[in-house]
Amino acid sequence: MPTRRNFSYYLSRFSILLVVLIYLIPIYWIIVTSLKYGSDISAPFPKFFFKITFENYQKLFASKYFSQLLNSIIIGFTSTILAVGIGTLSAYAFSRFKIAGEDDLLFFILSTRMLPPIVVVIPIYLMYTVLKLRDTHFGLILLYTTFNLSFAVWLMKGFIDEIPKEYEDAALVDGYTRFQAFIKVVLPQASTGIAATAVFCLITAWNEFAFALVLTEVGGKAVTAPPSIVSATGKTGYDWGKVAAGTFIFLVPVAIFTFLVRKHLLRGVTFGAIKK
Amino acid sequence: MASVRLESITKCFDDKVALSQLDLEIEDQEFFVLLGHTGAGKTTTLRCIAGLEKLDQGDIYFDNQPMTELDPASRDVAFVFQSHILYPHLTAFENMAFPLWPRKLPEIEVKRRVQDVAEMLHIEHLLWRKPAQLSGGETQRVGLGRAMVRRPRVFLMDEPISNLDAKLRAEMRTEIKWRQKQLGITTLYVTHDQIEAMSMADRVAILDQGKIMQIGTPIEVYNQPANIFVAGFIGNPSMNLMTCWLSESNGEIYGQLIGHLQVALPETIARKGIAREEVWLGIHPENLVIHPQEEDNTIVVEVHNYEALGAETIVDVNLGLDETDQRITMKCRIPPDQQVRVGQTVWLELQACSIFDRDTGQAIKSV
Repeated sequence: MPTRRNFSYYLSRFSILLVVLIYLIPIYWIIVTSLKYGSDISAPFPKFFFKITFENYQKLFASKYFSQLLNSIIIGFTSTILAVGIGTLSAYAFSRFKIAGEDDLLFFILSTRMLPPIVVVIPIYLMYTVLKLRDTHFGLILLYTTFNLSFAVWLMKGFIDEIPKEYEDAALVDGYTRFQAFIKVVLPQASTGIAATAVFCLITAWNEFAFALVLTEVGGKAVTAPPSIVSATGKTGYDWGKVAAGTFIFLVPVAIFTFLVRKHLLRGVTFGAIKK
Repeated sequence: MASVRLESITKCFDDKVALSQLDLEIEDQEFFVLLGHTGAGKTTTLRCIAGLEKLDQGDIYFDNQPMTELDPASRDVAFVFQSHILYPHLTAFENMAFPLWPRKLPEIEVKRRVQDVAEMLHIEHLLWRKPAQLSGGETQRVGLGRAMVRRPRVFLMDEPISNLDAKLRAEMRTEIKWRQKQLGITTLYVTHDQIEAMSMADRVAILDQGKIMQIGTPIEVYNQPANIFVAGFIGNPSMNLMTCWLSESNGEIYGQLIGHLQVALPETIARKGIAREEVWLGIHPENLVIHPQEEDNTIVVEVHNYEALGAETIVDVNLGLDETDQRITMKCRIPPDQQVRVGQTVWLELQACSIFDRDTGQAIKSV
């Protein structure tokens, strides 16, 4: 049967286009700003036709920005892997075994998300000073893993609850150990959930600013990209061209990662809303 | 291949007793069916045998080897589940090879065994498909193949065909029974469908609330139900069950049903129950004969409804109202060529019956 393309079809297409445009404007803005000369950026009326320059990117290359971006990549991805890994294992335990005080424990895990993280900035600063974790990769990885863990446990528990127990039972009867059954049966089926959880965790860790600023020293060895971009001040206020160039490069790794897992993501974020 | 013995196994979930003191002996190569309503403990029994549930009490033996403490992997059983039979992320071939992988067989042997079973089940052409591309019957076949590749000591099947439509179910019944006999692997088969039990089982155990109500061949449980639970469960339609008061006059024993309806009971049966006065009377629908005119030893009833099924006709007859104004009906199975009308007055002859103790519900076998 040919699809009937009526008014509501075009309306929905148009709405989607509109929303996408609105979302893409800031990114467009960042890209064009990163390619403009300083005078074009500060022009009172936005210039849509301008002379393209790679000056801003050259300035970035000259700075420590890329080593700081590498910090972001190391810290962001490591903490994501840890949070998703530990989160999946504990979610599996919560989902499949009888755990004394399960509800209380789950609530406790959730409660760590109930206050804005900034509230604990000072205690953590003091703790990290004593433990000599300030301005270390490990310190930030530990912190971001902790932040993301509660989220990962809750989200993954939802996904694992959906996987029928029979699959593992069958594997157990077939001669697999529980761990093998987990690897061979549960993980492949939880891949959607893992991808969705990983994207959310990565974005949280990637974009984190407050702790990254407070717990690192200016020009220190564990500074990540977000505080680095902000510190791109020139002699006459912010060097917006450099900020835009840094921001654009900062967007790329997450965009690539999200693109790679997009198939899983679509099902992951609509999880629960649509029955398979 | 193995015989299976359960010795007074007990399993509780929280405070709920799922199985209490269950004893069961399944012979080598036997096709044994566990029959019962939902929640009767059939699946729990199977899961206990597989080792998926830990027993609270009792022991399980395969060929006199204790199994109670072994983990599921060491018991060498194959489990066919009711749903979620195949892993959706693996192809049919991989699903069937899955139980062989932990056994570290050479790749070529795995391939050969899967091929052999696939040929046997006529599913070779499906091997490279994912479960989502298989129909219900094909899924069930692959699932069966999955259990067969390993040649386990015991097959455990938990309602493997109850999700299929009626026609396919009938086909699979024959198929499963035939394969089981061909392979000679001891099989425990769980179902709530008494037709499946009757048509497939060498022996059947009827379960209710974690207890065994009766064990026997299908014919035994049909003809000699041990209690009113079994009587009301087995057969389609099942036995007519109703209260009956026994009395003796002129050396003959009469059963008085509701009102003043009196039926002459077969001597041997009635003798057993006479001491009790009040019993449950159980009559198979085919043991009631409908006569258009009055004959000896008949009671007068009215046709309430009938279902002409082609090979037979099931007639509901109305006996009247009991003391609480409930309509009492009986189902009779009559030949398809016998005509009846709704509302017609007919005479009912009782040819055989069973009686059960009024209080315990147990069959009365001797005085």
